Amino acid sequence: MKEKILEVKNLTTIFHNVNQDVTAVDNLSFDLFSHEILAMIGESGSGKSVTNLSIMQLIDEPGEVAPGSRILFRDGDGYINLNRMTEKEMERIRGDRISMIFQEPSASFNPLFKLGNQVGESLRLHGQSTKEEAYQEALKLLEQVHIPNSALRAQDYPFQMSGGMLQRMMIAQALACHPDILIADEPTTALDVTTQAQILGLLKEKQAETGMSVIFITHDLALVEDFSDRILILYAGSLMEEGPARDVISHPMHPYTQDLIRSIPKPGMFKGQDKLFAIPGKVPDPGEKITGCPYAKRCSRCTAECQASRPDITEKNGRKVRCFHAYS
Amino acid sequence: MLTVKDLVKHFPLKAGRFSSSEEKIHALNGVSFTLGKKKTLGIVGESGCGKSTLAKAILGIKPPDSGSVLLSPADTRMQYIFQDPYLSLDPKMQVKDIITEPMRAAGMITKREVAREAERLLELVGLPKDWGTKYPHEFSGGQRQRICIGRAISSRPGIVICDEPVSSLDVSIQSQILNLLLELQEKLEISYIFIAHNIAVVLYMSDIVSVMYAGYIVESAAPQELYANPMHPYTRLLLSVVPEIGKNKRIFEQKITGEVPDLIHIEPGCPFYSRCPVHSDKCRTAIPQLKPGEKEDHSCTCWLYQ
Repeated sequence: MKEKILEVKNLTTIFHNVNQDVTAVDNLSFDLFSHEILAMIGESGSGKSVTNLSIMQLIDEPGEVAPGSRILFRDGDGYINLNRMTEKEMERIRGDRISMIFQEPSASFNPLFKLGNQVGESLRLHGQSTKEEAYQEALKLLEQVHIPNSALRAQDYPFQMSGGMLQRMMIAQALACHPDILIADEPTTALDVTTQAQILGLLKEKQAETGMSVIFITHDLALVEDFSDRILILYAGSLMEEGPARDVISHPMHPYTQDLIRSIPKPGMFKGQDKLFAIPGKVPDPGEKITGCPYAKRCSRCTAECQASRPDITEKNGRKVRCFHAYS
Repeated sequence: MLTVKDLVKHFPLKAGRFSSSEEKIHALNGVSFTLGKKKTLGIVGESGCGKSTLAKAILGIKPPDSGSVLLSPADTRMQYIFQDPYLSLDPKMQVKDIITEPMRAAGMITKREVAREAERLLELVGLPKDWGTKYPHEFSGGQRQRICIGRAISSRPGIVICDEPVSSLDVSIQSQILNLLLELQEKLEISYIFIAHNIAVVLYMSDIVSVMYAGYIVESAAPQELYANPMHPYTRLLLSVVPEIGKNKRIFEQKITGEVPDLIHIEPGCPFYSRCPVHSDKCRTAIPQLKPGEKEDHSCTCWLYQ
């Protein structure tokens, strides 16, 4: 039985910059279920990272999560609104119930501390263990993420590790407190393709073992088709399309999704015999005034209606799409 | 038109000022190829395989320790397009000066001709021709890469080296830039050395593809041939882990052992040995020469095919 573990309702995050307000996330709603990998796809400025920083309540001045935004996180039998938590309360949730891994593992570790101490850090912070217990637990965690000679590697500093090994360390660190949700923000973008496959395998394995839910943020649509259960497609801070991963990719409903799929070079396409589809134009600048559909300027199905007003989300058969002229 | 022979580049590793360490990074270990007119040589490999060092050695930015780079006399101009268009444009120069700088440096135009030439180049790379007086910060990533391309082709080079030209761009912009490069190649008869880690992109852009691993070219073939009949176990691994829409490849279930090779402590034999699923004792002794297989244009350094 799948239960809702997180319910994001009308999330709006605005950055009040000196000369203008920039709406990074615009009225976004989505659910995350238990035992689920949810992929969040978007290009730069799509709001995918800001969404997750908003969930974690890590938006700093001049940014603000609009007070009406509700981020309902399951707590026991009920739900708590993370957007109403105090900083102290959030500190107990971050790293314990919800943890995060990032794109650049070398930038996410303190270069001056041994990795073994850093991996077990959250266990100490959340008051579950002493320093020595945390270190012993860290050794176990390193084994669980398949780091060879883990006892020795725990004594190493971040610069002594390859990118792939560090990403494993970061996963070990994130899993230390058995979180309900793991947010993975482009965790394989900085890695080689062979290492990427290994890290994806590790995430899948840990997800199956622990039953946690994963929000997997990436710009690479090809990566998530068979890796994730559901996909959210974001563009310029808005949700464009949502649905089961396979359905969205095999039958995209939003023109943006379809254009993205067509513009990714596939192995087996060759110069002179295939022409790669290119989406015209560019993603909107942050703060650009958009009245209609954010994709209207670049869309082949665009009509006057799309320029004039923003389409609402329509829902059918477990699929959501924000488009007046969606493919059926 | 370009013949590269046995390029070797090792970087000495100095632990400190008084260190007497003899260790070095074996970045290039004898790379050879030829590049014909209006052709594209694609080079694919993972980080540390030596693909950027190769580009820099060819250009003389990092002169090779040994080996030769021979250019036909008609094509002595080479240009470079870098990965990050945010780092490769001087923020204090106007775009018209940036885009024509190689022409000025080569004495092809005078200062008075800058504006006119800049208009022509901007149009050629698909930017409005009256944007020459803008500064780089006014442009998006994709537009900046167009400026870099305009600058690279301005002095009519015979060869342009593109080093990961799209990997820092948004997905929806990448295909625009790839198609622009192909279009300019047709129009201006340029040859490219196209370097990328994404094998799908390299297959699409190239006339011949070389796969690099640990400073060696381990396999070379036409892209169609390489895709249909990959020979080297490393090429097969690369093809098996590249994400591919609609193929249900489940790359997260691929069994991949080992890590990227250690380029400092070199052991004899094939550098892919420790990760290779089909290795034999022979692989420990020596690395075979890059040798044509059954098909003449398809060569590979693996004992399986010797």
